Amino acid sequence: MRHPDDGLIEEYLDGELAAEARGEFDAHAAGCDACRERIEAARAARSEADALVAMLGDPEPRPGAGELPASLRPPARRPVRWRTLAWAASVMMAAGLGYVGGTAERRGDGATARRGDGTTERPTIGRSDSRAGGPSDSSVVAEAPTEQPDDGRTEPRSDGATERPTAIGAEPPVARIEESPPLAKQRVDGELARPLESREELRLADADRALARAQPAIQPPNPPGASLDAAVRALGGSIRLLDGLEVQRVEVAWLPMPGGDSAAVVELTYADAAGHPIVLRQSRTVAAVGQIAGADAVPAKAAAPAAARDRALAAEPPDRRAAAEPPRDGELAWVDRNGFRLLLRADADADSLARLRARVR
Amino acid sequence: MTLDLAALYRTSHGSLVRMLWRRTGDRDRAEDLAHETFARAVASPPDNPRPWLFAVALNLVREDGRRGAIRSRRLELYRSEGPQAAPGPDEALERDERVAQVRRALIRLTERDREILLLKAEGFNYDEIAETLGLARGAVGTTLSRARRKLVETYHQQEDGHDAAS
Repeated sequence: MRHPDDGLIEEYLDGELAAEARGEFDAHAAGCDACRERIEAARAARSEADALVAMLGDPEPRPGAGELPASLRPPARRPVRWRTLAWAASVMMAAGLGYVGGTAERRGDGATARRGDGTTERPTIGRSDSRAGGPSDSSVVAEAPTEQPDDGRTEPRSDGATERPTAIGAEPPVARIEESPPLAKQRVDGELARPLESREELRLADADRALARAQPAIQPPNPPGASLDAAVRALGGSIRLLDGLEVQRVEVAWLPMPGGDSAAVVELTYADAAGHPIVLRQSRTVAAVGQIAGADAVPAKAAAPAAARDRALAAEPPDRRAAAEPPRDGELAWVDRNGFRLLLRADADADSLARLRARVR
Repeated sequence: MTLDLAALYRTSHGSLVRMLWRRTGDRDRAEDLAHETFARAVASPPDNPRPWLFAVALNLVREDGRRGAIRSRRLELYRSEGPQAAPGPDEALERDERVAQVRRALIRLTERDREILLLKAEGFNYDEIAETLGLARGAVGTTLSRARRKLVETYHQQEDGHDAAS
């Protein structure tokens, strides 16, 4: 072995040499007086330097040191109140509202879709059999814009649930999603085994022009094995909630989109102090129907166009998007930075809605 | 890989603040920089957190140093911030003076030498030092050897100067 350089001596003293190299080093040092002197000099400098740095001491510990400060913690997600949800679901079922529906024309609470020219069109998704006539129907719906009466509101009922026109006695619509048993029965090991509630009609909350051209039927119904958990994953692993309010009802569904994509839609219903409903709907384009239940297994190829479109939709600042929409009583739609299309609906004026929007977490 | 931020904070925050405090001489600044570093870890969780944290923190210090905003304040703080132990008045004064000398010696080193000494004092091994400072693993020993000798030499020069003056 040649004479070790300063770096190697330092490695040796710091215990950073591998066993074999250390053996060679020791063997050389044993027979080399000059190197032993250098090693001792380096050892002395090392000890003294380290002692000098240690002399600088420690800063005085402050209260709470070592605990992650609140400002660095991820925002706490409000837990879903299962008991409340079960109660709400039971009320719904008891009242014969397991299936809630009606056409968009009757409900008149449609989301608006923005055209390139700045006007709006209102897509309708999920119609009864009598209307599910194919592409020509789709175009009619897409181009039938805003003559319909539409106050964008739902009427509160005495029990706090939302009164909606129902399709009692009508043919089961194509878009109808299977009726679910009460939530309490769905709960399996703390998770929802299936979506909470079925709906005939669901619309995206945002201005997605392509949606207006989509076949306006939900097909198939919920993919087998779909769960609220899967919906949350489909929404990107998180869900938006209204801070400070308890969720009264949760609805989950998926819509087919052009190109084989799907939109996962989750609607949360809250109640204000007077019992009037506040609805927060959120949707996000995901992948082909049937792959949603295993959201983890969504192929990148299928997800890519959807992701690109969501990015394009989200690219425009939310505030500008909201401002570009014509003012509507009781509704506020926007796209957030993560590509969530959101719609807030409440019996409230624009200012109150804006304040509510600020509470969306 | 998910980052357990709470665990990382528990194990590394104290060490990071100490290194930054020794590096800047400003307790509040050290706390701020450590907080900013952890905030960045939240935004983009690193794979190898400890070297990453210290590398980011040292970058922040360098950026701050380039702006030169706190340079004069730092010197004041070096004088005013002493050790926390409270021995007798004479001992305390003497110790304060020695600590101030170490700090002055440290300031006179190159940035690389200063940083490698502070990282070694936090228990970093050569691999971690190499990753934190962007050095080749083989260069760590040489750099550390030079930094240690230089610190000792500069410290004794000050001591000699101090003795000659008094």
